[in-house]
Amino acid sequence: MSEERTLPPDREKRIEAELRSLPSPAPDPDFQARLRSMFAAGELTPTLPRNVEEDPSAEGFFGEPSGRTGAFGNVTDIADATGDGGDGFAAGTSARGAAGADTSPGAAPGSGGTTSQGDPIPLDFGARRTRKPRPLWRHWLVPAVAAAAVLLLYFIRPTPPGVSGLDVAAQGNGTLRVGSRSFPIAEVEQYASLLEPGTKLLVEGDMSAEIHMTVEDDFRLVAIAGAEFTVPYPAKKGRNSFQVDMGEVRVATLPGISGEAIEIGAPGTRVDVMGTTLAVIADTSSTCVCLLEGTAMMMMKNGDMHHLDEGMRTIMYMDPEKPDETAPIFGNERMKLEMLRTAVGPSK
Amino acid sequence: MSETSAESVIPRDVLVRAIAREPAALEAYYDQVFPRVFRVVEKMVRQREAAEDVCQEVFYRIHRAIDRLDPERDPLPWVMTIAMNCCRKHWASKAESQAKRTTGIDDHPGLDERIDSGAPDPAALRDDAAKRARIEAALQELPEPMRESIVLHLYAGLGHDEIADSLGIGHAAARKRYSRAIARLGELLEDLVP
Repeated sequence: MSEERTLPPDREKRIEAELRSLPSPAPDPDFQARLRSMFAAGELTPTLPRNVEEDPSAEGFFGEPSGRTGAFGNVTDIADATGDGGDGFAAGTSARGAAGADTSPGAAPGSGGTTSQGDPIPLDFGARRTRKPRPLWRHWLVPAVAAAAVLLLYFIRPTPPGVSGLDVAAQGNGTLRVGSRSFPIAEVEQYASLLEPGTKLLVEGDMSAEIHMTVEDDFRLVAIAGAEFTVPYPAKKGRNSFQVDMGEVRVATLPGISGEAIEIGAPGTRVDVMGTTLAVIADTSSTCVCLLEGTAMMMMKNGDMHHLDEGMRTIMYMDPEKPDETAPIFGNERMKLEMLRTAVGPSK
Repeated sequence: MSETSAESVIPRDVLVRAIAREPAALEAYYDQVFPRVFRVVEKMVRQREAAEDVCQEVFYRIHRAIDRLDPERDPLPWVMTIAMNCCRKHWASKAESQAKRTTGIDDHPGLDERIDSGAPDPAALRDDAAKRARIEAALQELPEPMRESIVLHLYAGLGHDEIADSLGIGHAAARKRYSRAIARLGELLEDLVP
């Protein structure tokens, strides 16, 4: 597959060269040395608030505790065991904070040490910030305002809490895995607010389990049991796009779709969709695209975009030696795609 | 890839001993990994002090989880995954909103020397600084996933496969994201880097 380039290679190289030439401030050598010794001694303490991790929406895929994380299962639980459930700033030592501190072997871990004049340096904790006591009225005002805001949002929101521009419905027996958490698939209210664009999802259950996502007025996707895919990015965030890593996802475009293609990433390929109904079926050895009607293009092994034929399925194998195949869509698949098109109405 | 991977510079036996948390091995591991971590984190959070805080968090997490590191795999993508998570966490914290209000002298490399020497700011230097500032601003203007892609490739020296692993996306998506990021920078810097 050829590298996708949207700029001439020489210009891309020039931009890369400019970026590489940007200066980076050097770390404070004292900080670097102290961090090194504390790392080796296992004396480091966290410097970022813990409470951010308690936000379920900050969880990564299948167990990673914060943000997006990749294929490294061993990142799991790294950060959630600090034991401080308070305001998030752990008491401990900062490699940066105690500049000028006595770092001699005799100094107690965590000690602020002494200045050159022998004055004691106060203990310096990870956050280096001291909090003023809150005025009493703020103890009551903030929760009251927050509660009022929550109530207001609850009553004015016409649909279950969720991500703007994304309508979600589900049916059948099964679960939906969102990051490390599993939810009964039919209980959309429980997970709708977690469905941020790019979040990885896994539909588990019997063949009745399905999740339907309508992305603005652009398209609807239906993922069935076994599908592993990402929540689509809506067009307003750049371009409609999502990823199908495994299983089957069906897509039907809606009348509001802009002229720009929906981009579906799949193992070894990419499908650009313009006003169409199709299914993308991925497994470990191949990716199959079944096009019921409309226009879609699929990236082939050589990197070229290939126009797909209506009523046909195109299979691209991961094995570079195995040629791609094209054949009529199976009757069962055709029926399901026709049902989806009927459900969403005509594309234009 | 512009730099050699950490895989080639951290011997397996050092990794194995680091996993057992032997201090000497941890120091060797740190020496190999820290410069790239700092560079990447600094490019993401844009302030030296904040970058130092985030680096401490990164190494705190590495130390906690190092026993789960697979010595057969290149440790750098794993480290960068942690670094990116810490950057996101930093952004999500109040520290980021407070830090955005001010910039320190350390955030302008060379400025302190010029002030100390009393040297005038020649036009060439000014032009060069303005150009760098434009490029930095363009980089910061990128959406976070694109910026991560650029930083991991150009400043951490990760290949697209490793970036894909690190970000939990497909290889093709990683390459595409990088190409788009460069293209977006090309638009933003049309006049500067024609």
